[in-house]
Amino acid sequence: MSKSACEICDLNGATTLKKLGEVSSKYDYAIALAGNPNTGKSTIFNALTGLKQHTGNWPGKTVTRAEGSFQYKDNKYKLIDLPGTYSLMSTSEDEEVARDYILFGKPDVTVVVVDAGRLERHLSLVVQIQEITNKVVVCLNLMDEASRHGVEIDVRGLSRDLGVPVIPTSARRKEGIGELLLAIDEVATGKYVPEQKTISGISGESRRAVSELSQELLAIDAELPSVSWISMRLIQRDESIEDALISGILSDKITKEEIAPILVKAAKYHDKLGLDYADNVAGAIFGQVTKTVKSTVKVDAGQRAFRIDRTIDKLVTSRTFGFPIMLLLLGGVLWLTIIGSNYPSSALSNLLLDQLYPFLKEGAIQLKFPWWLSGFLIDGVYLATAWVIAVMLPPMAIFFPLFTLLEDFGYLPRVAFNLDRLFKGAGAHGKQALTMSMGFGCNAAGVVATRIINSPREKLIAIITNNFSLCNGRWPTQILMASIFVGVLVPNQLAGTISTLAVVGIVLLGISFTFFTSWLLSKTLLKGESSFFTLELPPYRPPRVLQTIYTSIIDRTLIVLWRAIVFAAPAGAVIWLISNVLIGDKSIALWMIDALDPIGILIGLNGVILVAYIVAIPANEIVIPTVLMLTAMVLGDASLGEGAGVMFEVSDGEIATILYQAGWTTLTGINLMLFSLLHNPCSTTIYTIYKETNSAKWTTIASLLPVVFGVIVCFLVTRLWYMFT
Amino acid sequence: MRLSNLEKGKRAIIKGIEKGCSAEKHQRFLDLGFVPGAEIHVHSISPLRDPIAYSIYNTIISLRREDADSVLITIDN
Repeated sequence: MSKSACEICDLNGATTLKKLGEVSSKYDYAIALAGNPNTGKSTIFNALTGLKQHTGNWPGKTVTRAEGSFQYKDNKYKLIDLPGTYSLMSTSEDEEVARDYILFGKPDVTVVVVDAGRLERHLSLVVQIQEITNKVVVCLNLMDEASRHGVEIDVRGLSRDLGVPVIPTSARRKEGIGELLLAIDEVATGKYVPEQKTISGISGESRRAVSELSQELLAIDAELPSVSWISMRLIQRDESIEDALISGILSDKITKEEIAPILVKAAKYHDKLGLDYADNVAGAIFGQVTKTVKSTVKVDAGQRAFRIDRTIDKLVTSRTFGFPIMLLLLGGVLWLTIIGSNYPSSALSNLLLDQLYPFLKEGAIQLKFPWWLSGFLIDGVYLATAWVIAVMLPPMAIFFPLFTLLEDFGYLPRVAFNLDRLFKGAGAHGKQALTMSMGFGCNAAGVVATRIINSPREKLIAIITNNFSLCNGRWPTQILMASIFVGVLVPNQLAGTISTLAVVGIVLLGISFTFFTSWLLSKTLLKGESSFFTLELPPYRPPRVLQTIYTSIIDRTLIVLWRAIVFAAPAGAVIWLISNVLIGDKSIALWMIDALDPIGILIGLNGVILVAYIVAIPANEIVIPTVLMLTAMVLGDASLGEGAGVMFEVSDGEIATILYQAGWTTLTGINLMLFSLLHNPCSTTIYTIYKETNSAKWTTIASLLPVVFGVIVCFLVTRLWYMFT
Repeated sequence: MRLSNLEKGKRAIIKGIEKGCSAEKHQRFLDLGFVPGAEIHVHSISPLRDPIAYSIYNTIISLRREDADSVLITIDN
């Protein structure tokens, strides 16, 4: 790519920036990146480090700290992206991560990214951080958006008022990054020393309490940093600050004996002043900020005030159009995914299964592989892996970018807003609407997405119920079964419509199970009060299409695909082995099928289906090829299929013939659809659930509960079926 | 008057957070800018009438009805 004259000019500070990506072990300075959610913090992070962290228009995106590094002039910098927070006064996990790093990590500079168009709110965080450290640089981001909204800022005045460098940027357009680097450099190297500031305007007894405690702390350690902030936290009974003082993390000069009376005094103030103290401090912060904003910001009232946002919100949250628009958009994403992935899927399967597979088999013969080795490696491991890639990659590469576009535009939080009432009724959180929708793409990704729910109880509900969203891997099974066994029940011209409706019915059944199970869990295992629900509806922002496609493919698609491959390869080996290792006169697979057949029949399925679901646990995508292979084995017809342990797929018509020949009925088809919805999550999802919950108990419950539902539902349907036929 | 009773189109000033509120919730409210003196109005109402999105300090924050009950306001003329 050729560079413009500006980009290579010496006056452009960004020319001396060397993005180093992942953090290198050695660095000269540590820089923390703080800010409210939705300020473009991650965009700044990416611009400086060259990493491609996903930037979501959504609070709670950066849940753990991300780290990267860059070189500027002669120094190496480590950059730490802290979780987006509104304040540092609460005890939520995000705020503690951010606050602890600024306090205990002692970064050389803390860059606070603020939204130039929403200064009042965002400066309140700046003021709080200044109370902890004076080494602050304010990055006045989203300048382009602010000026579109008619907001004019006196940057110099603001910088004077705050006593720290204030750098206007438009990170999405890479404007102001050079100046930001320069400011970071000057503060880090000590060329510029920002003012030490403290919150003004705390009144009466609250102020006296803070200053008294501060003096007593300074008496035992004259160099204790952030002393007035520490005093404020002690009055709020912040346990982690108390512990840090007692254990000596904050100061090695302070002993347990010295600090004890101060803690007692702070506790007394806490009881005496109570919540008035919190009101007083917050009021003072916002009061101070409002004064600053009044003197430095001019707003053209006619232009401003979310005119576009209001218009869009009027439509997408309206009583009449809110739900239809939602169904249209989310349904549209699914439809595009299903239709759109047909072509690339068949191209991939042509390449990997029709071209490469025979080539590998031929190669194995040339190299004189024994039959079992070529069978194990190529028919087993390779075929299963190739199958998973061919069927899984295209829908994910379509679904994730589309979903991320809706997310980046700002629409998804509105879905949570529209649906919260329903989730509240089930004892769950409105944001579960999002993780549920994400589950239609991939349950593992849906489980990861539950990180946006801050309450542990409601997060667990969202994790356990995610499997009831019919994921991409299960759609093909549903569509196939519906067209073979449901479509045929009606006249030809109606077949397409009816089988589509059958699949939609399964999806709706899944959603009902989500609500039912959420309700059940919140009444039993996960009893508890609904947590305090707050949801920011972020401003609408035009999504950056190309970048979104890039990052969502890297972030979501490839990671999930990789995990699936890791699980699919050994499963391929197992499928081949059970089909080829004989015990007595029968293969292990046949023994298993015979053993499970009675149970299968009892719930309107058969032994083949159950065995397929056991061995195809890594990916729902290989259930149908495994069912076909096992069915061909059971039928013992040598003209069918490719041989023992070799998965295959043929045209829908041929599949129908094979299945009918094996004794499948409409009941089997319908029950397979139900069981495909209601069975354990795939191994990738189970693994992800374990990683997210860190609990064997919840992982087990999340894995087994759907199977229990599946067995009950299939059994009941079977009983009903025989009652009426 | 309580925030949950605020009608669309009217502006209000926050008077405070109800005393019965838990300390944690109280602090969350303050963090989000629900401080005495702050201006607030209804931005939009969810299709099922709950939650309601409020505009406060140029940010849109939605609250469930029972939570909005804890915020005391006066109508701003």
